[in-house]
Amino acid sequence: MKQTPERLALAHAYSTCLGHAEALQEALVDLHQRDLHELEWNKLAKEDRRLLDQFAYRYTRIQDDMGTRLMPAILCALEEDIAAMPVVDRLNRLEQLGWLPSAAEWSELRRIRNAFAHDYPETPAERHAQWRLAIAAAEQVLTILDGFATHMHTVLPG
Amino acid sequence: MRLSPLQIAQIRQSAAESFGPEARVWLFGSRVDDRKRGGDIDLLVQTRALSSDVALRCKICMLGLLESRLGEQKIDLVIEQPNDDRPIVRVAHETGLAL
Repeated sequence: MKQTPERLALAHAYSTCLGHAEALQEALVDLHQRDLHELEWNKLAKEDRRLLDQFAYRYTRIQDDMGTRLMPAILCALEEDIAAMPVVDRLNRLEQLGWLPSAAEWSELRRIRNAFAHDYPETPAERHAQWRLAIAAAEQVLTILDGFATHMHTVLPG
Repeated sequence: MRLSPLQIAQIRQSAAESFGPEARVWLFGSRVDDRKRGGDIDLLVQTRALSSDVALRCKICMLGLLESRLGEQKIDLVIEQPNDDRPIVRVAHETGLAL
């Protein structure tokens, strides 16, 4: 398979996302082991704050990089003309091509990520709910990235 | 108020589908002011008592419905549950308009 600028850009974006995925997976394992109780959100220990920061950083970064860099790079490597294509059309095209299980699911994951990044819940119960939803969403994002791996050999040289 | 009748209907429908038919919606913030232009859409949704998990799920659902109906734009959604005494809730009721 011939190397092209589009394939190089895809390889770089994919490698970046895999790096995020590894760190996010580590954070998820630790979070599941830690299993923070609702009341503990009132006063977090230093180690817990660090763990939550690691999760929050990698969760938001992987989703941003997948949406703004990896997915466009996949379509470009597949020689799709995406210059004038709205985001929703790009997602639908990836679903049509079999890369993305569901464009609607990705849009919902983006809304969960935006709520997580922008909202500041006031009560421990609300904070706990926000984190639980974000953790479930992060696991879905990792599953979607895993799914990309099964297609990547069709566009990247081995 | 700077929302069209169609937008108001779409917002009310989205709230009802997400939180149930008893949900009530207020518009507050800059969109209440006819002299201003553009800006976010700030909404307060008054609901029955919900767990934090369910309230968050319903909020994400309503944001999705609003995005599909109103198009992609900045919408802030405050969820008010019974006995909610947060300042933002008080301000939304004092300065906002029921839709």
